[in-house]
Amino acid sequence: MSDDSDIDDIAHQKLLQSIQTPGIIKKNRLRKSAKTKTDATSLLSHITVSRPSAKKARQSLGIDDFASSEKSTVASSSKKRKSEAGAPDEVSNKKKLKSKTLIPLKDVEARKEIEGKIAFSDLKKEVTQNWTELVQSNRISDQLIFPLTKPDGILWGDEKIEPVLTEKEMEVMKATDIKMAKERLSQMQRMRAIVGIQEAKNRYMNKIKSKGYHRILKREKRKQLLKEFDDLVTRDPAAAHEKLAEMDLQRIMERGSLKHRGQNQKFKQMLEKHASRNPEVKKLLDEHLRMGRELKAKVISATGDSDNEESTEGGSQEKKKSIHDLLKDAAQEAEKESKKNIGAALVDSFLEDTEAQKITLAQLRAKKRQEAAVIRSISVNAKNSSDHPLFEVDETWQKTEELKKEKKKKKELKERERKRKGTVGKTSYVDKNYDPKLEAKRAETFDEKVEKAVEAAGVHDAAKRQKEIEIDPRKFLELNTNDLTQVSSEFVEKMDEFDEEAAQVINEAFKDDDVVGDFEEMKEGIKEKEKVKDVDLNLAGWGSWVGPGMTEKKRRHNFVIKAKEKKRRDGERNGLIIGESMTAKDGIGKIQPRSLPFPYSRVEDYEAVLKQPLGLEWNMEKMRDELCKPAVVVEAGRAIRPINKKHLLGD
Amino acid sequence: MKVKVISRNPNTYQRETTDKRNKIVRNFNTPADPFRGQVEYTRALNATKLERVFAKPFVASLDGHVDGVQVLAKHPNRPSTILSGARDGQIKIWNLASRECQSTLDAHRGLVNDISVDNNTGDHFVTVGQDAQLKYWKLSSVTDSDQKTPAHSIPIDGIVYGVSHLSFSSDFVTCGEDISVWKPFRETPLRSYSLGTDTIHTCRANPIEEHVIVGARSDRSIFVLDTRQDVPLKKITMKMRPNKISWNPMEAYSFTVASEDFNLYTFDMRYMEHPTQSHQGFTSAVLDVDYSPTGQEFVAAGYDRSIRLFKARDMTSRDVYYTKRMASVLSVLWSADSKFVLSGSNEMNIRVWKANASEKMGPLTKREKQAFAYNDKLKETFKNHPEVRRIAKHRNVPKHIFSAAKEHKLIKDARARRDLRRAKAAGLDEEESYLPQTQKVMVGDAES
Repeated sequence: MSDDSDIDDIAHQKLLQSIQTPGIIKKNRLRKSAKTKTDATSLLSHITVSRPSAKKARQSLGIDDFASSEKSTVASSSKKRKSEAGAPDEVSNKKKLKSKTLIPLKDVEARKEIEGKIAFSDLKKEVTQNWTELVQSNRISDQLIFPLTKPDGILWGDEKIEPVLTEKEMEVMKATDIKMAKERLSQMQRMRAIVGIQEAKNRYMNKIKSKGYHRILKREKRKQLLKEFDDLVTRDPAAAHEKLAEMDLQRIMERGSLKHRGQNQKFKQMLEKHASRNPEVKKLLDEHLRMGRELKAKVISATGDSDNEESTEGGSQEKKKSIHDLLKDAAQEAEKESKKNIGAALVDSFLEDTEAQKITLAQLRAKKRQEAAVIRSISVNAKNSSDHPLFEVDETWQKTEELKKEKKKKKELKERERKRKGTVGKTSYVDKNYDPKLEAKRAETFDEKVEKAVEAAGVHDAAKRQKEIEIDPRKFLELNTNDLTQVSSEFVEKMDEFDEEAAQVINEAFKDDDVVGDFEEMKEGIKEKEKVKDVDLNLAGWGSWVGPGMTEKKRRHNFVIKAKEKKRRDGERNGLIIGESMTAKDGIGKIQPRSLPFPYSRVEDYEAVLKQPLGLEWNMEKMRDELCKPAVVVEAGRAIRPINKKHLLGD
Repeated sequence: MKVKVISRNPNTYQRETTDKRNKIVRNFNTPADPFRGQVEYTRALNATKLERVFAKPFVASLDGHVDGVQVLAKHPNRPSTILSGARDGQIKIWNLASRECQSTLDAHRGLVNDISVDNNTGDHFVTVGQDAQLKYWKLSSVTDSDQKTPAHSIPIDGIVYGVSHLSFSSDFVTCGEDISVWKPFRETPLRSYSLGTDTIHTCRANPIEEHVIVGARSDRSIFVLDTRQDVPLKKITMKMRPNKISWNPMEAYSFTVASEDFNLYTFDMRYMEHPTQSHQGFTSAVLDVDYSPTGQEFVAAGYDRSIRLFKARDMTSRDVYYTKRMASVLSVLWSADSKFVLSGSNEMNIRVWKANASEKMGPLTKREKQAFAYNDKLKETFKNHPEVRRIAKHRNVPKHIFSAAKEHKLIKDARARRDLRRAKAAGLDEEESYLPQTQKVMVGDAES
């Protein structure tokens, strides 16, 4: 006690003083009560001042008692406050509170509002705490069986009592778990099987003798090595250097060992058989093989060289052996002819812009190619009979080059005449930036223009020739023959391999089959079938009044609802039918949901639900019952009471 | 010549004696049936069609009243006991099972405003009428038609418009000029709350939380009251008058309001700024609403001479019931066993309907039960397929409802277009300006 600070003593003294002078306390209490009182008494006195029930309510609430008891508590609290408050403040407060005016209604309303808000937030909290979980679980549950409460008042059932196990028991259970043991066993078996399969595979691979296989393998290895090298360059230059040396060595080995094989054995045999009868053919064959070897060597040594040059060289050296060469020659021939007729006129009409020139050229080339193809098809049939083949032309590739040059010069001259700035060099036949696909596209857009120009020039050679040959080009399968400059070397190889004889055999076999024609016919039929038809609403006798100034036909016409022209999706495209009758709207789409229904967020989920079989044909009876259990179960004649809070909260 | 025949050893499929079960030969690794989907879809379609074929919801008509049936009430424990109050002050107690009137009471002068049955024991019920009387009646399990006078009667200052028993209690709350909480056989209320000068025309005590009361006033406001507090907790105002309120008996905080603007609105008591869901379909004012005791669905009565059944969280109605001679429906009730729906209409009839229009009544065999369950599941699974949905949703409605619905749709669309145009003129984009229907129905900001 003696250790207590003097502040305590002062407080004690003040307390004693206050006890001795109770008058001050009383006044002080009034002040405090006016400020802090927020209880129901004051409110009720203002709100229900006129109602007799208010008093009773107050009594029933026990507020009266509460008010009296509050007096004492406030008194005790004010004692403490007073000790802290200064003397002048007290005096002023006394003066203020002596007037007994009513609290303004505005304040009462405000207080009510605040109290209501506080009470509401409390209620909200309480309700949320008590019910949210239950409500949410009920909302998403698969099945609700009513009444939820059992008749004896215990909360709804379904709580399964799980036996409590000790740790040891759990361990034993785990150890003896047959399911887990089986799982482990099956896993082991699977591992063993995988190892076995891999071993067998390796053994088999080691035994493979195929050179082709090993070549592919080597190529892959090389690629891998390159990849690694690329990686190393960025990470470790020194190591990369070593790697490079290694790679070089490998390349040298490869070059040394590589055998440039010709065709496969079977092919060779066949050729030889044929060649044995015809010494000229044999000579050609030998030449061809040598040529192939040369080509390959070149590709490997200098990959930068363009194929085009090679092929032109080959063409100049060789005489037409492969179809590839035949094509080329035919093209030359056609070019020569057409140039005579069209060339000048076309160039004249299209010198305005270099673009147009290019397009004209592309058009020309395409035409030539087509013609060449046609000629070839004829020549194959008529090969034996004619001694002088159509494509036996003395002119070499070199000559055509000269011709081209001449053509170029012509153009240049014309250009100069017109004093155009256009870059002349770009009109050359073989352009480095030349992209056949792009050009073909452009050519399509300028199609009409070109044709007009052709007509203007008064040239109908193509049509004439078509008539001579008597083959409808539309019915002829369109070969997408791109410019040869862009054809890969591999493709050329394959083309070389293609045998004339084989082609002849095929042609013989399918000579009478007009596949394309049949297809076109079928397409026409389908088009006709799927065409939207006019609706004729004419009825006998209706709208058929006759009389002066009445034309029956016109009247009848009014009863026909014209069908809307519908653009077909396959349009004018050859060799393609897109059925219009089975669209999403009128096919199976009519009975299938068009959008993902609400609770699902992924199509897969919804599909999985639909895929689940429910019927007894695909399920056991128990499973079916489980799948088809109703969402809500009620018993007829049994009253369902609301959830009982007392039971739930265990009061 | 060799002839191949199928022969099986009888031992593999025949039982040894008749006492034993038949052997079931089963392939546990059956290949997937490629036509499973098609078969089940067809079954779902047929089940949906059959549902519509068997949809005959009308069960019975309870006639006997000589004026419009203003109010219907159910007994909490006895599903077959139904009480009805007419506009001439007569109250009838019905036995639903036998479809008979057990007793008739001339309870009030003027119309009966509301009836509520004791929630604790169920042996009393309270009626309030336009004659400003609160009457307390005995409701014994045995029929006594000789009861002429109430067990207790209290005259009140103003007209009482509604009465509702607190949850699992014999205490009840009345509304009119103010809200009062009463104990049975007392002359004066336990507590009274004055909420201002506007008449409180309906109030409902929460069936789960015993302290919470929600009511509606004639100034189109809805308020929440806690009987432990002295002031009302929350007040919100709607654009149109809320006619009746019903609590969800399974969710302590949701209640549904039948509104004068042809819609119903479900509120979450905790977040009352605007309703959580609107329920549409009526073409005239909604006069009454009652929840199914399962809390999954509710039924509403319309001034347009129809009743509609809604799933508690769906916007559109699941079904609509009407008959040719049914006048505007004043009161509606979902029976305590959740199997029937009752409607009391202006033309003095109480009609009993099935809650599920196509449900087969009476005891079912096991196979029937399984078949119905299977069909229901199929319908549920394939309900989003266009053809199934079309058949399941199609309802023939009377011409006046059909044409009114068409007209309302026109108006609604026009308003939506107008709002959009205005928003665009104001420089807002479509998403910014969009306000859901639930937010449009409230007046200003919510106040406490």
